[in-house]
Amino acid sequence: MKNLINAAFGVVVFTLSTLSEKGVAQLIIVDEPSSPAPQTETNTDSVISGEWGTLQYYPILLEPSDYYISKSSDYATRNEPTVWQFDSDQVEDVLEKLAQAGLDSKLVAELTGDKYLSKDPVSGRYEIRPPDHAILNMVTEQRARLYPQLLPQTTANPFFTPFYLPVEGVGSNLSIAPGIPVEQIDLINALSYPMNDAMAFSDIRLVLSRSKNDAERARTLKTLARQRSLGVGLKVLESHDLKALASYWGAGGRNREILPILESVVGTPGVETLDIVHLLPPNPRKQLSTFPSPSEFMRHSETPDCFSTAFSFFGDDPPDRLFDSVSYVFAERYEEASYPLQFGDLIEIKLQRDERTIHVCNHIAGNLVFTKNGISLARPWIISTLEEVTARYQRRGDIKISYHRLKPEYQK
Amino acid sequence: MKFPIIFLALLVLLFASGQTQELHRNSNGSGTGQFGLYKGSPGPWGNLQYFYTYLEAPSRIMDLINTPSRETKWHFPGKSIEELRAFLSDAGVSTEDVEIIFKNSLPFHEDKESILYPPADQVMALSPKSREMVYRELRRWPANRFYYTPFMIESGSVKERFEGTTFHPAIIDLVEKLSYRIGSGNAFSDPQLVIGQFNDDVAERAFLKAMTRTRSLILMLQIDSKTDFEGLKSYWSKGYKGKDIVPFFESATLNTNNRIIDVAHLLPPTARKYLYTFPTFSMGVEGAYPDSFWASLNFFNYWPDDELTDPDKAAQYIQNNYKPVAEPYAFGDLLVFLEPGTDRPIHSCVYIADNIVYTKNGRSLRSPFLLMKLEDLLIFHTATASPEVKVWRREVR
Repeated sequence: MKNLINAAFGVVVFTLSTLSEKGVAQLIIVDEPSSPAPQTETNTDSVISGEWGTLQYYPILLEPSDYYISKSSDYATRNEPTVWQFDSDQVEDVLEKLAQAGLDSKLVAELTGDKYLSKDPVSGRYEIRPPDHAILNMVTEQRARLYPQLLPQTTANPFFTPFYLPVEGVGSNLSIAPGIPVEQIDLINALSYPMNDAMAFSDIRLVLSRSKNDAERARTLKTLARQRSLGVGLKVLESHDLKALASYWGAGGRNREILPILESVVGTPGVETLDIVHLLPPNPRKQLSTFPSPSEFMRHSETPDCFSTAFSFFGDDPPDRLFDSVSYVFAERYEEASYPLQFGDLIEIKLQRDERTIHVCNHIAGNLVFTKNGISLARPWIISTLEEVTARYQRRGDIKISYHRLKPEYQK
Repeated sequence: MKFPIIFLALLVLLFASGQTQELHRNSNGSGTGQFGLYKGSPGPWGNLQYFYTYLEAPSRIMDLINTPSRETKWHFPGKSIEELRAFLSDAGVSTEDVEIIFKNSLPFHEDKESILYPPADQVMALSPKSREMVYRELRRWPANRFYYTPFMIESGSVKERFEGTTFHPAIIDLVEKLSYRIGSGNAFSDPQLVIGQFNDDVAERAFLKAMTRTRSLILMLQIDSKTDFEGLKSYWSKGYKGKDIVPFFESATLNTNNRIIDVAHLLPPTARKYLYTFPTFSMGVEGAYPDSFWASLNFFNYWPDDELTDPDKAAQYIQNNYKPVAEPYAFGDLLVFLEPGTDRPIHSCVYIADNIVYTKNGRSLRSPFLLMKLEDLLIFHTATASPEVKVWRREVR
C-alpha cells in the first residue's frame, strides 16, 4: 500500500447557509411520531452550483479493509528484518554505494562486517540486515540517496515501492484517530524521505517491529494507506428544473433514467439531497470509494489504473482492450471537448516537457472529478477536486490540462 | 422459470437442512400510497430511514418490447373446456358472460391446454373478486405474459404510479378499474385493453414505459459522532472487502451532528453497480439475462459469474458457498422462496437490514435490480399462499 496524497484540499466556494431554499416548515415527515430526523444541512460542507444543480460535499477518509491488510505483503512480512539488497556480488560496490549515500565510514565498516553482511544464495547479491540504530541514525538525505537503489524490484520490497505520504507527513491524514501510539506516527515521519517532490516511507519493518501486537501492526498499515475522498450529494429542490438536471446527469442517454429518482426526492418531504452514488453510471458507481482487491483483479493481466477507469466511465466492466494501448483508445474514441464540460468528459494531464500523458480522470461537475490516482491497488477510486489531482501530478513537473469527449459514434 | 429435475432434487436436498423463517411483517411504510421519509426499526444495522422512488425502464429497453396484441388471450394449461367453464363460474363470472366468452372466443384446446379469447367487455365487467380469482390462476403460467409477471402497483395507488405523466384521466381510471389486489398492493395485467384506447404507437409506447415504473426504496443510514461505528462495522462488513467503513463513518461525521449515508455505499461493488438499474443488453451476451438467482448469488462477487443463471450451477454454488442459518438474519443472507406444496424454488433475494432485501424480480429486461421490503416481495410471489422462505449465509473464506 503506497500512498501519494497531496496537501491541498477542496476550495469552499460558498457555504450551505446561503442555500436554505426549502424551509423547515416544509420538512413534513410521514409516520409520526417515530419519524427520523429530516436530512439536515451542516455549515461545514462545501457547495458548488451550476447546470448540474447544487452539489454539497465533505471530506472522507478511506482505509482498506481488514481483509486487504491481511493479504498485503507488508503484513505478511511484518516479523521479518529490514533487508538492503544491492545490485552487486562485489563487496567493493556495496562500500561505494554506502559511501555515496553519505553514511560515515564507521557505520559503513560496521554494516559491512560479518555480523550484518551476507550474500543472497539465490541471486548472489550482497545483502545487509541493518540494526535498528543504523536505520534510526540515518538522516533524510542519506535515505533519499540509498533507498531507491535497493533491490529487488518487486512490490514486496518497500524500498522499491515505498509508501507515499502527504507532503506534510502522515499527520495530515489524522483528522480521525489512527489508533496507534503517537510515537509510531512520529517515527514514521522521522523515517520519511523526499521522492519526486513527495514524501516516501520505506522502513515499515522497523516500525512494525516496535508495535505491541498484530492488531497495532494492522492499524499502522491502515493508517499509512489512508486516502482522501469526498462524500457528495445533489440538492434537489422543488424550485429546481428537474428536466435540466436529468439532462445533465443523464449524459445524453449514456446514463440511466435520472428524472424519476429526482422526482422522488422532490416529492418526499424531509428529503432534499440525493447521494451522488445514484447519479454515477454503473461502472464508477461500482468502484466509488473502494480499494481494488488483489484477488478480484486476478482476471486481468494488469491492475486498474487511471486510463482503464476513465475510459470505461460510461461502459460496463472495463474491457480488456483498454489495458492494451492508451494512445489507440485516445485517438480512436475521443475528440476535443467543447465548453461547457459535460458529465463524464475526460480530463487529460500531460507533462509540458515531453507531452507525455501522466493522468486522466472524468469530469463530474464544477471542479469535482472521478479519479483513480495510479495503478497501485492501494489507490482507491475516489471523487476529488481537480485542484487536488493536479497538485499531485504537478510534482512531476509543469503540466498542461486538456479536455476530451467521446466521439458521437461512441456515445451510443 | 424452469428448473430441471436434477436441480429440483438438489435444492430439495439442500433446503431440507435450511431454516424456515416466520418473517416479521411490519406494515410501516407499505402500501401507503404516499411519499414520505420513513424510519426503520432499531437493530444492529443502526438508524435506518428510507423513502420510495420509482424506476422507469430506459428507452433502449422499451424499443425492444414487443407491443402486446390488443386482444385478450388466456392460457389454461391442464384444464379442459368443461373444467374452465366450471372454474369461471366458481370465480363469480356470470353465466351469461361465461357463455359470451366461450361463444365469442372459440376456445382452443390442444395438448391439455385451453386458450380463451374473452371479449374486452367481459374482461372489463369482471368484479374485483372475480378478477382476483381468475388472474390468480392465470398467473401460474408463463404463457400468460402480463398475468404471470403483472405490473405491480406496490403502493396500491394507480394515481401515484402515473404522477408526473400526461395521460388522460380516463386512461388512469381505466387502469384503476382493471387493477386487482395482490396482498396489500395492486397489480395490473391488461395493457391490451388500455392500449386499445390509443390511436398511435407513440402513445402506446409511452403508456407501456409508464407501466414499467417499479417502486423501490432509497435506504439511508443516519449516523453521528456518538454512533457505535464498530457495531455498525460488524453488521455491514460481512464479506465486504472494498473498504473499512469505520474511518469512512468517522470522517463523515466530523464537524457535523447528523450525517446521512446512503446504504448503497455499504453494498458490495457488484450489488451497488446494478442497484436501481435495468439489465443492459451486454448482460445477455453469454446466453441468458440475469434473474433473481444471478442477482443474489453474485451479491458478493466482484466479477459476476454468468453461469449462475444455470439452475444446476446455482444450486451447486449454494451448496459450496452457503450454510443454512436461523434468526436473526444478517446483511448478505440469501433468502430462497419455495413454492408452497412443491418446494420449487421460485425466487431468491439478499437480506440487507430491517426486513429490506436486494432483489431482481425475474429475468425480464424490464425488471430492475432494487431494494424492497420483504413483505412486499412475498406478496409479489404469493399466488395462493405465501412462499416458504429458506435462509442461507455465505461462508467467509
